[in-house]
Amino acid sequence: MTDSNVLLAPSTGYLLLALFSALWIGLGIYWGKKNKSFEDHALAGRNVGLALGSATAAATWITSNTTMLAPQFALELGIWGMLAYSMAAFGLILFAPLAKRIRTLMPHGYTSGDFFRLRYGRVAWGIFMLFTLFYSLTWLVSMAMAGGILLEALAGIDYVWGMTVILAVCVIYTMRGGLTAVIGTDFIQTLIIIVGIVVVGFAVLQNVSVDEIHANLTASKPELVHVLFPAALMAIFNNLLFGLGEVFHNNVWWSRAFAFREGVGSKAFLIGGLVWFPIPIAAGFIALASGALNVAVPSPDMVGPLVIASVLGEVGAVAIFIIVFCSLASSIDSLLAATSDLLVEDVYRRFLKPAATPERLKSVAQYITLALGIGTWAVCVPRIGTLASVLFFAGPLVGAMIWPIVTGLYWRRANSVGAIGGMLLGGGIGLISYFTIGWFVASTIGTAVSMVWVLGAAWLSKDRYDWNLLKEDA
Amino acid sequence: MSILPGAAHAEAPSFTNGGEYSSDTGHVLLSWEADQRVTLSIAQDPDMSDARTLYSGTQTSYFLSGLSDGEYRLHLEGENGEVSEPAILTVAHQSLAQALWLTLIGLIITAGIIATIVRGARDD
Repeated sequence: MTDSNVLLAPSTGYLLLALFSALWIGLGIYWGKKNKSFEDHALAGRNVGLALGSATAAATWITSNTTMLAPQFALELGIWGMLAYSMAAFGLILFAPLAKRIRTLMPHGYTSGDFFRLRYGRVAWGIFMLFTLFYSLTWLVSMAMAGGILLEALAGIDYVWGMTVILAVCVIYTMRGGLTAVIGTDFIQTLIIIVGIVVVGFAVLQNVSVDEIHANLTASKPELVHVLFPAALMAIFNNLLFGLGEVFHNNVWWSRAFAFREGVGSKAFLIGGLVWFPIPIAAGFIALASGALNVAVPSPDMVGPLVIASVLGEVGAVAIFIIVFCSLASSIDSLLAATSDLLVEDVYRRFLKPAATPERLKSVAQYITLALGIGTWAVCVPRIGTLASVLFFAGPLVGAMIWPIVTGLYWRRANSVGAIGGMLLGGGIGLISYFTIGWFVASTIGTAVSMVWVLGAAWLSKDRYDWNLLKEDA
Repeated sequence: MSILPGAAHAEAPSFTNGGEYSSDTGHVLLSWEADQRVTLSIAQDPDMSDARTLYSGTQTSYFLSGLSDGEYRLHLEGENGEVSEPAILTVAHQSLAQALWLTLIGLIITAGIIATIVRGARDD
């Protein structure tokens, strides 16, 4: 195997960066003109239709991790790893019925924090806030870092400059356009990403056949096609549960459940999940072809760009640059908007200024978005950690929140003792297993412990929750 | 007199972590120091009789994955013939029994979540 030149000319990289930055900011400002109140800004007027709803569900879930980490999964864990990553689609698919239930139970709700506060009380809400902010900020930081690293690797753009531009663009259009801009740009980004991945997949198949890929893997990387590959087997349900935990708890998805028009949520999340499902498989397939294509991989998180550049040359480098930029923007904007709304609704409005006007709340949301952007930038500048390790540290924490949420939405006997114990025990023991066994078991173990505790507490409980308490007025 | 004095006095390439690697997942990121083009080879026989080339070029790292249980020897050879001390990579995968148990637990949890959602709120 020999070296591959993957670098796009920096001038081309800067040109693409400038063009797409101008496009997203322009659209954000245009769409933001209609926003007058916090409800317009945070929930797009609760009137998002099916096409935009499905696209935003798929696009937000297509992160740079989908396009970059899915190939890494395939390269490390083989066929099972590729399928394991695609299991995260069940997060969206199973959230479809939850979205309908959420909208029915909480017609005036704003955030997932509202649910924890009203359903389980302040202590559970506090633990939820700690876990979700850790997860959201970790995701935000990992996306921004990935952006800087990838732009540097693809086009020689300095890490700090690339990371700064991506963050700044997302902060500007999210501040100006709120969820309307986030969802609108997501729609365009989804189309670009799907077309890009399909084109790249066909291009790889033009250069090497499936038989050649299989023969190469069998000869030089046999474990990647082995049915009983232990770490890969453990990763399947671990990743599925991680995906479920991410979607079920996070305000990125709850805000969409509240924003979608009546009757749209369940269909939009189902379609979004089905659209998303094949993307990690296509991205992972690209990585499995690396050996047959003689592409040497100096670092696992770069396998996708290296193979694409090897197959498509400069056109491929341009394609992956655009796909990466769209993947990053579609996730960073959603995280900025949803985390900002969570802090405005759950902290500012509920604790500090209950009488704040809708205009004031919108203004505070914009400042918090800016502060989140600056904070993320400050954490990212030193360039600490790797894509996978930063992301998976949060796995057991989000897994431990699945059962408190599912039972809290459907069972009147689910209670705060179960929710608090489930989150603390599941998160704690899951983290211990993360360090003692590996990331590929942490979410499974965290969710299992939480499940046992939550079910036990519900079984022993004589309390019956009054669903009307969730219908708190805005 | 050489027109490439750097190459003439190049030191033998060397693995950066002292040449000891272990993995329970079959993958490892190899890295080395070299001031010249290198060829990286892997073998399972101590005498390297079954060696195969993994990489040839100027990179200073290589991601190796998909290896089965066993002990592997890795060599770096510079373009002027200097050879590194061999690195030893020991691969011992996680317990298959543990993996199958955790897969079963994951399946049960997932089935429980789906059943809870599908069953819905019967006690409203």
